[in-house]
Amino acid sequence: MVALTRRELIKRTAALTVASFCGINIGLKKGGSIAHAFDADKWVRGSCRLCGAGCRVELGLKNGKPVALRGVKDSRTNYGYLCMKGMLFYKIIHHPDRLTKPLYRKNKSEPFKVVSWDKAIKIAAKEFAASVKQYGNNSVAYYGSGQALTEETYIFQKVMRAGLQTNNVEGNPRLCMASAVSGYLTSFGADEPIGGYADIEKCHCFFIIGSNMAEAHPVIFRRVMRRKLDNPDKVKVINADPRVSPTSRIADVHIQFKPGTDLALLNAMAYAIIDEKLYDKDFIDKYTTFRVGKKKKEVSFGVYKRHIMKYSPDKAAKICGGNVTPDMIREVARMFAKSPAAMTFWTMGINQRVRGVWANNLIHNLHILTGQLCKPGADSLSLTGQPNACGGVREGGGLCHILPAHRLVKIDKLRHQVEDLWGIPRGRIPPKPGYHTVAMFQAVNDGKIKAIWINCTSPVQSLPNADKYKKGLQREDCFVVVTDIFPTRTTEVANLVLPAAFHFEKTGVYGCTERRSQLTLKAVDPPGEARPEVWIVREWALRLADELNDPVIKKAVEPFIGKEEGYELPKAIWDEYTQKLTKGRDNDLRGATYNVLKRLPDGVQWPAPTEEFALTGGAVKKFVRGIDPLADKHAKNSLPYQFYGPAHKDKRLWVWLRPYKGPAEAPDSSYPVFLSTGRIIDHWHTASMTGRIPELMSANPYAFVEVNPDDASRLGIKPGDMVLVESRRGKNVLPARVVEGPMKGMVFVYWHDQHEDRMINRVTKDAFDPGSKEPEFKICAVRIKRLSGPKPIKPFLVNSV
Amino acid sequence: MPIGGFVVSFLPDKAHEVIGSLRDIRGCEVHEAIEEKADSAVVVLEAKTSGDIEDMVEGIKAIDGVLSVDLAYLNIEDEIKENKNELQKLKRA
Repeated sequence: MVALTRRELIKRTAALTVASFCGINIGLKKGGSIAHAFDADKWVRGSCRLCGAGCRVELGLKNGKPVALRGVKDSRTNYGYLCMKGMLFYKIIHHPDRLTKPLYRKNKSEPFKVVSWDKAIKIAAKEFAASVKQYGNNSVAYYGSGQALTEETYIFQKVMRAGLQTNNVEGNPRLCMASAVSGYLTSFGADEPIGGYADIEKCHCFFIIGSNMAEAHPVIFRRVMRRKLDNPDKVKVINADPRVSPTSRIADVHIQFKPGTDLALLNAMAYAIIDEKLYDKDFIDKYTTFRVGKKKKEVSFGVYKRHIMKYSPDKAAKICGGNVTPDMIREVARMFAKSPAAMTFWTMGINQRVRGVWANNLIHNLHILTGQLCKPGADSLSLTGQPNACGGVREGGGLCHILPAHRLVKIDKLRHQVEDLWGIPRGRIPPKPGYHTVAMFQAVNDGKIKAIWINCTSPVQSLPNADKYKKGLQREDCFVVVTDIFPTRTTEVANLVLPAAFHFEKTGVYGCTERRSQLTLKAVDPPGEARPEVWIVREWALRLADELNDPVIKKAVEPFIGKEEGYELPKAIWDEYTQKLTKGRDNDLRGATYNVLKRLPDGVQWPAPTEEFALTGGAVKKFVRGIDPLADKHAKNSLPYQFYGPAHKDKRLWVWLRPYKGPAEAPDSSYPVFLSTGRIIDHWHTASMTGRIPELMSANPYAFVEVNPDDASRLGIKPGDMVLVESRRGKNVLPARVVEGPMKGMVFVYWHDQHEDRMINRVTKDAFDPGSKEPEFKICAVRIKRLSGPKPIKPFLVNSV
Repeated sequence: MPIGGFVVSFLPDKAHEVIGSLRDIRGCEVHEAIEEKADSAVVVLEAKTSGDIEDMVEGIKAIDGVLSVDLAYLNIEDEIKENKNELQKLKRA
């Protein structure tokens, strides 16, 4: 995977051939010495820092310095396997580009000056306090990350809500997981999947839609691939995607549909299931109701049947285009419904849609109708993109409408529960949710937010229609604090840059895709003056209490005063969150104490109310009596499945009647081509980390645009030619890769590149789902044009502030 | 340009000096064995012609402490191609 010249390859072949003939162990690397795993004198256990798979790793240290990473063999997520990113991220820890001192500038046009921590904290407190005093509590905001530890998200949102009395608490999971959250809540009555990865080895039919998991979740995909290759006839793989990706390679059927027609396809699969009587009547009778509209009106199975008759495979095939035929839709519906156990995986292709929640509902519908839930090998599993989107943000209260442990802000009873548990006066947390992400940055644009704290994420690169929101962040009347480990496109618009400790330089918990919480222990000190965020927030809150003369702000961090920041402080925060806030909730984590998490090779799947149960690994399946302790506790009858989720009073699964709806922006005569975006295996998000790992950067030094060979030939585009990709919002100039990837009439661009010519979110659209408020990154209309032949391109990273 | 992979055996006591001398040779890439007290190393030699590689091997044999230099891999694709081109030129001439 590492880019080599032909001569380098021959030389390596020569060296390895000799070594293997003679039984000599050698290390291969361009110049310098190479770290060997067995050189390490100490191994510290934690989770991988990248992606939402939750692979367990051990960081190898030699004389206190990180030299290697290896997978944990008895971990139930990765069983010792790691991808290249997971093997190499230790190289970030002591990277020379690390931010090591607090930096400040009054005006964004000035250069930064180094300031002391004391001064930096004072400035942050003064600016936020001044904004609150002059413009009110909702003039300040926190924008966090699905990569922050749960302890960090929890304490940030506690200070914002209990201290500054605002629900302007958001995070980048709004950009990736919000539709899945709403989908789970509206279909199953509770957020997060019922099953997990353990179902893969028992599954007989994988339905992978809107996910290139081979590149985005390679280690989990390896399990799927192993299952398929070990049982080529017994196990079927269906891949539905407008683009042929590495994931499609193992598929028995690849459904290539026009971008934005997924709702028609999913409804038509349900049609075939109903029409051919492939549904599980017993499961439907026992566990299901049918719902429609904003008022969630209950309707009969007959009404649902009449609704679904509008989506015959004949009609849907016409809407879907591509290679979709009525027979194909019927065939995959049969494969899915008749399979002994079926599992669906999806990611951003479904979530980042203007009707992402509906798309999620329609996937869940297929599972509910056919009873492909709760039994071994069957699950409707949304893969998360970030390592702690589930644990920290969804469970820890990191979005504007939710409080810790799956409580909705707008419900008085739940809000007061949190206020009581925190020991603060009732009424302190405002009843109205804050700004969701797009609205938050629009409020920055409009001058309504005067101080914003951006933690561990780079919205200047990752927001859709990025230029529009960069303008707001550049305003001199909006004070921007950024906590990060490297310079990014967002530190460029900051007033105050605070150097944060990286993974393994602090202690805390990540919760991955499958409800699994896992602890990462501090192994090394952060470089220079970098500090853990939990320390930064505590000190900031204490200063804020003085500035605003408000003892309740101090009360919010009082239990944490004086605690040592590397272990004792995060432990105290975790204890408060799990023992107090999750008690009696569906994500009960009281058993998952640091002591238990340290003893297990992987971690604990909630609900896990006691340490004794947590030590077994927790609940492999939610809602199943005998497996999930809460299913037994909340049982209303003798049925084996108990859907006790907080959102459905009837304690049933809901099949939704959802109509077909296309994308927000379809191609037209001016912008005739679909644009979609995604990840490449070697890079992660905005590449601020993976771009600094030479092996990964040399494999993919810059982004490119994938063009279908038919389109390329029509437009005179040859491989490597420089191509203009332009939408109504912005443009990119990228080298072309001519490949049978995207379907005809569609181009695909990777979004990691930080160079302004290749930052594809300058082109994408910021339309969002009215339910989940998640933007439709995955679809917009562009025009493309060949500008010139190939040109030399240098890899680019923002490397100074 | 041909590329050859060789195993060089030497007296363990002289390992440090031998490896140092090998590293000083232009076109010679040294891959040390990971084990402590190694008595051999892998070297990759790159030169303009195979004749030049033979000369390099003779030079390595002459290093104090070296016991043997043995060939295990040789790639001469480029040299063959170049020689073919030369032959064609000669034929045309």
